[in-house]
Amino acid sequence: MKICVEVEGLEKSFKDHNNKDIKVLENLNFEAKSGEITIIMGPSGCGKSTLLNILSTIDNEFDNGIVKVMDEDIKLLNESKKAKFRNKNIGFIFQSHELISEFNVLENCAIPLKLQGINAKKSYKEASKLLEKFNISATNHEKFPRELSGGQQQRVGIIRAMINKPNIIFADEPTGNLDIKSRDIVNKELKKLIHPTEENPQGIALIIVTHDETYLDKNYSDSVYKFKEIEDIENKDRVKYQLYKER
Amino acid sequence: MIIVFISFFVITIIPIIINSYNKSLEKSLATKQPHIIVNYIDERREFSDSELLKLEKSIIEEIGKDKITQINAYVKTTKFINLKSYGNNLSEFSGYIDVVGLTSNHYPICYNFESFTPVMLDGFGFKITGLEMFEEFRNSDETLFFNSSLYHSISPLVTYQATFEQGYHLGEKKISYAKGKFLGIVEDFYEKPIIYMDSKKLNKILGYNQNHYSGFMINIDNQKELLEIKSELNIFFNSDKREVTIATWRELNQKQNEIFKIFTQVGAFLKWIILILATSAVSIYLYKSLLMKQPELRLLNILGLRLTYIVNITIILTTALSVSLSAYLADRMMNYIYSSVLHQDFNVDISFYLQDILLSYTVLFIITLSIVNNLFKQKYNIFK
Repeated sequence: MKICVEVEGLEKSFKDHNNKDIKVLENLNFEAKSGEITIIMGPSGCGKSTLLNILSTIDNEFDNGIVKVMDEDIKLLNESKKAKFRNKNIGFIFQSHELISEFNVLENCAIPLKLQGINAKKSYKEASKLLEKFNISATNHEKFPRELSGGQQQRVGIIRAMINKPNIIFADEPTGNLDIKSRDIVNKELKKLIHPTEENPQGIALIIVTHDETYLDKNYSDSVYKFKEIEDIENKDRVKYQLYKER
Repeated sequence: MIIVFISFFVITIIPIIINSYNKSLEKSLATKQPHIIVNYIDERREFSDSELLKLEKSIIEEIGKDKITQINAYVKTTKFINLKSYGNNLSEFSGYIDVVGLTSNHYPICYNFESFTPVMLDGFGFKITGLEMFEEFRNSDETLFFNSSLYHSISPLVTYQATFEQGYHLGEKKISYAKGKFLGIVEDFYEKPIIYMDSKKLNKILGYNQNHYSGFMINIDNQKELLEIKSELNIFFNSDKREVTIATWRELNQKQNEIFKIFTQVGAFLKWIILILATSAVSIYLYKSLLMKQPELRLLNILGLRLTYIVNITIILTTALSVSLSAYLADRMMNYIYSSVLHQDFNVDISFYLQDILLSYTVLFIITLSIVNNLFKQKYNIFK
């Protein structure tokens, strides 16, 4: 399996209200392979979102370390190149769907293709195909996000994430807002995403950031990383986390 | 994209050009050459050619050549007249009208055409106006020009039709520009219209074999010296023993000046109202187009939208805005400087200019912002 995301010795710190450096990520190592589901777990405030932003190239301002995504050193990418890189290689699934309320279902799904410069007709055709595949009937295509159920909205979010045939999909608490039934449906769909296809024979690398322990099932995920609490020698009042590979 | 820029040009640049043209035209025309009118108290008495020649010399010697631009004799009469015009912006008048004959090449007295230098002609685009036509036809004898059409029209009308209902000299006769003949100018800006025409022609109309003059107009170089020159003329005519009335153009048109002032104040008030509304609109636009859309912008950036695109568009539009605004301000400043250099009383008030500047800037800003907003929609709301 090809390594899609590779992190070595990553360090990231923020300034606190006293202008003092607070290290959020320290000596962090990570990798994710294509055709696999990689889970990142940890409690709130452990640095999951910070890590996700770096891995997905949204943020490439870190103190130390090397982060390579699809063999590209993200530190070397400027804002414009990062945007293009994300559009080509990365898909995003958010906890709260993040669908644009002014766009209908079809339009929301087709955004990444439109940003690639593909015309509307072709983009809609592709989006329709995927919507049908994900059991969202044609009657719903013209509807706006608010008219769909939570599960349907998340499936639209998944379609948007995969429509540009990315190599990596980042899913941030993808089922966090869903009921059990919808959660099962979405999880099944996510599992299907990584399968090799004609366009991507290696399969997609799916990186899920979550609290949900059901993802730890060996039949579901391939690798698991966990943020664990460690002692902060410099500041004993503060809780510090370190990422460990569990599996 | 091209359409957006053409629209931008049409919406912003053209109004600036039109506005500056209009303003300069209005300023140049509305601001009359300051003058003083002298005539006998006894209205039946008239000046003869030789008398005028002597007076002209004496006055110039007394007042000083640098202070007086011209001395023009005039003959004045009143006729019942019915003026009809066709086309837009033309005035109609029916009633008694003053007909003023002026010495050749100096009518109409109010417009000092010699002061329109070629630079000004180019700078303010007079070449495409009726003034040019007027210049061309000023020596013709059958065209009436309605002054208001010059004041209020971007493209002054070229054709007029006028009928003298009374007046044996012309009878019922249609006069039109197309014939290429010029009779005089109808000064209908003021409450009471006046026809200016050549004094020799009017003398002929009045049945005089020799030229007679009701009085003469002394054109002053500097408006600020008007009252001073008037008192000097009073002293001169007191010593000369002629019983004359001396009146400045301000005194003669006092009522009109007051009306003009009221209009200016009302205009200024309306401008402030528009300015406040426009500022509110800017705030709403700013809120809607940028601040409210921030989450969507962020999301679309994550999905691959390059923000540099928006930055570039904003830079281009801001540059276009700055250039057009600079051009506008330069024009306003030129007007201001021009009026200052000529020492003419243009009712110039710097706050008036500031309002103009603020208003135009606000309007331009709204236009720019709305275009940026539309571009945002085109790119962000990519399907709308």
